[in-house]
Amino acid sequence: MKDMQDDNQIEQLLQEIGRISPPKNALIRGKNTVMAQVRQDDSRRLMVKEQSTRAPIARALTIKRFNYMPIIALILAVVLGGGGTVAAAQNDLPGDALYKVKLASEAVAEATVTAGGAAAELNFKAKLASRRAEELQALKENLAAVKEDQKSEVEARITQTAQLLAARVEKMDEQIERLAQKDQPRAAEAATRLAAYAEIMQGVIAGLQEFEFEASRPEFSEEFSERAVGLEVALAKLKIKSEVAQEEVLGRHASKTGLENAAQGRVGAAENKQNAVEKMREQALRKIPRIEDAEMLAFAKAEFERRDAFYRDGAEKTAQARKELEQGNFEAAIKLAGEAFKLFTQFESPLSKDVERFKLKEEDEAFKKGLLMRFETPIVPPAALRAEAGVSVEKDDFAEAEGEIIFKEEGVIMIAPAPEAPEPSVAVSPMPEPSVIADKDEEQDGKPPLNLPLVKGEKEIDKNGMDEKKKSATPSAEELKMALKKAWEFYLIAAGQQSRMKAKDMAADDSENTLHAAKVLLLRAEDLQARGEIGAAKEAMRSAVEMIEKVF
Amino acid sequence: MNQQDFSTPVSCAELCKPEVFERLYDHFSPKLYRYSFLRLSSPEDAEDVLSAVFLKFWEYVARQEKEYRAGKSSGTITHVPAFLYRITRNLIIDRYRVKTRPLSLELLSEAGFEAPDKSGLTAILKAEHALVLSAFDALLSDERDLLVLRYVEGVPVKEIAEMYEITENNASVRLHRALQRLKTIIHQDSRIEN
Repeated sequence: MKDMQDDNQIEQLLQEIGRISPPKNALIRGKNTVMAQVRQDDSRRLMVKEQSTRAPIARALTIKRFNYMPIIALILAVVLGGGGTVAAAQNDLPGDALYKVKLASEAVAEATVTAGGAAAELNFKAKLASRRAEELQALKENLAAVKEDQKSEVEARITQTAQLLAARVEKMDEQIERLAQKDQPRAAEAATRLAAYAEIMQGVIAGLQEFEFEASRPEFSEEFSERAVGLEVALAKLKIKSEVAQEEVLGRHASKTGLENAAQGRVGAAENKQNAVEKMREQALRKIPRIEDAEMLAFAKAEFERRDAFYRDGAEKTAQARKELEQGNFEAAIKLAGEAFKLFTQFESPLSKDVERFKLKEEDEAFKKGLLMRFETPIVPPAALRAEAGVSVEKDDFAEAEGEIIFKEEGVIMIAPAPEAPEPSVAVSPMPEPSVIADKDEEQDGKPPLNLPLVKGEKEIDKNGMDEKKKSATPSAEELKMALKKAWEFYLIAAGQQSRMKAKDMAADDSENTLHAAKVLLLRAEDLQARGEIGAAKEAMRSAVEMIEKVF
Repeated sequence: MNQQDFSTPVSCAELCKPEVFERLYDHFSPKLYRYSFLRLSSPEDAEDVLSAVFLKFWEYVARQEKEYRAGKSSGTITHVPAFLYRITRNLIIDRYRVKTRPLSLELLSEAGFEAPDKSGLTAILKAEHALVLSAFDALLSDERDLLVLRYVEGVPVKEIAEMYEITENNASVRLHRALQRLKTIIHQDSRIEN
């Protein structure tokens, strides 16, 4: 080996060995292992970060739980609305001085709310998640307002808040499943509410997505919209999961009570869902041939085919369920109806977002219809909500206005008859517990952290709502529950419409505030209802419905 | 942090971002795999070491970041490459055992190593390379380690010295001796062959 006489020669050979590249598969396998851990830790770390302010407080509180109970109650009251620093903090955005106080107070409330059972805990978590969504919206507005040199900071906060939200959504996703399996008390209710929250948040995120981040760097805009799409899909999944969980719990619960009634209810629900899906289907069939882009057309067609299989299976199962019901095989009918319901939800699963992202944008009119179609249960038009107790609504304003849509309105909506005399404000109403005050304050303190000019509008609305508080007959809890459900649906429609309008810069200035105030009122109505304050709950709901009507 | 090679001090907060960590993986994984492979002569072991290194590093970074937020740490890694090579080396030592197969061109080829261009591995690695590789087996563990680090992976002497916790001077001397040993072995081998 005479040409390897000097060190340089060997060095060079060694360097050449350094130029060969290792097997890509091995590197990718390693990467998958490593990055899975990294991502998992990262999402956990974000959760911990959020909670890190909580740990010491929560621990301190649990040492001598008894002594501190009043404090906990106070903090709880304050998180739900209240006074002082913690209350002031509730409006803060990520990065603001008191934002940590806000997170800490939430964490304390979260740590203590578990006493209410898994269902209550989940509801509270959903509420906190929706706060993150609201913060995102407010931050987005801030981004447009701040100076150039502060933009990157706001961008970082948006990313962080989005991550917090994503982590929460993921957690709730797990919890709703557990909740449904374990058949916790009030699980169905919690699932219904979670579905509502998910829908609200989805609306907010959808609005963010369509917003052009002109004010930000293009990289950020791109990164964020990717994140937002992920979030939106996760939320849509959460919503569907909640709906399915609700169905499951109701179905199971039903089997313990009147089987026949239950079977009828389940089959009816499946049929309703089928009708709703049918409408979506027709719409899609009309729309797809009009797509011009070949790639998009192929995609939409394939998507439709895939989904249609769900629909066909579901329709078959529904028919079978109906048959079983008529033959008196109630258990089989319930089972089949449940399966059909699930299949129908798959038809309208979050992947439809992909179609939208493929720029399958409808006309405004069409969109509104599509949105309305998404609710399997009858939709309550304003006219119906105004209806007096006992009035069954058969035809409605909406159907007329929209031309095509026919609502299978069957609900009897219990709204108090027209008031005679205004009642004193809630603060002096015969409910001395601090929680009532807390609830009242929520309209001011628990509102999403919006920009200042908006606050004024909201307060006005708030006042309106209060003035219009009316005396009422006392509807039963069951009726109230029904009415509340309808009110939520009404709200969701309005919220969905509003977020789209907003994305197109067409929303009325204060509609956002009005809607938020309405949401707060609805949540409060639910809380009051849970506490058995039926009269007060109804009033809150009434005011909320009035506000929503204004938005429409 | 814009630099691609992580050669300047990096904060743990930055490294904690999944996208940054991913970039770090992409940058270092080929080097560290090759290094492990040449030391352990086994694709399975090299692969194990590779993910173990990054997981260990990730743990460290996450811990540092946490301590940094608690004010207990500077939260910065002054020299990421040296740090990674040190973890790798320690893990290699943990796994080092009597090899079932000697290092060879075939082994590299079987493991799926690829030439930088499309000319094929064997066309690049000629008889001399085969000789060098087989001579590797006759080297002491440390000698092989030093040579791979310095010449194959191009780690500066200064960093090698840090890894070994010896002076730079000492490192140079040991490197020189290792190179001489390799040369002697190659010459013996080629004499036998001839």
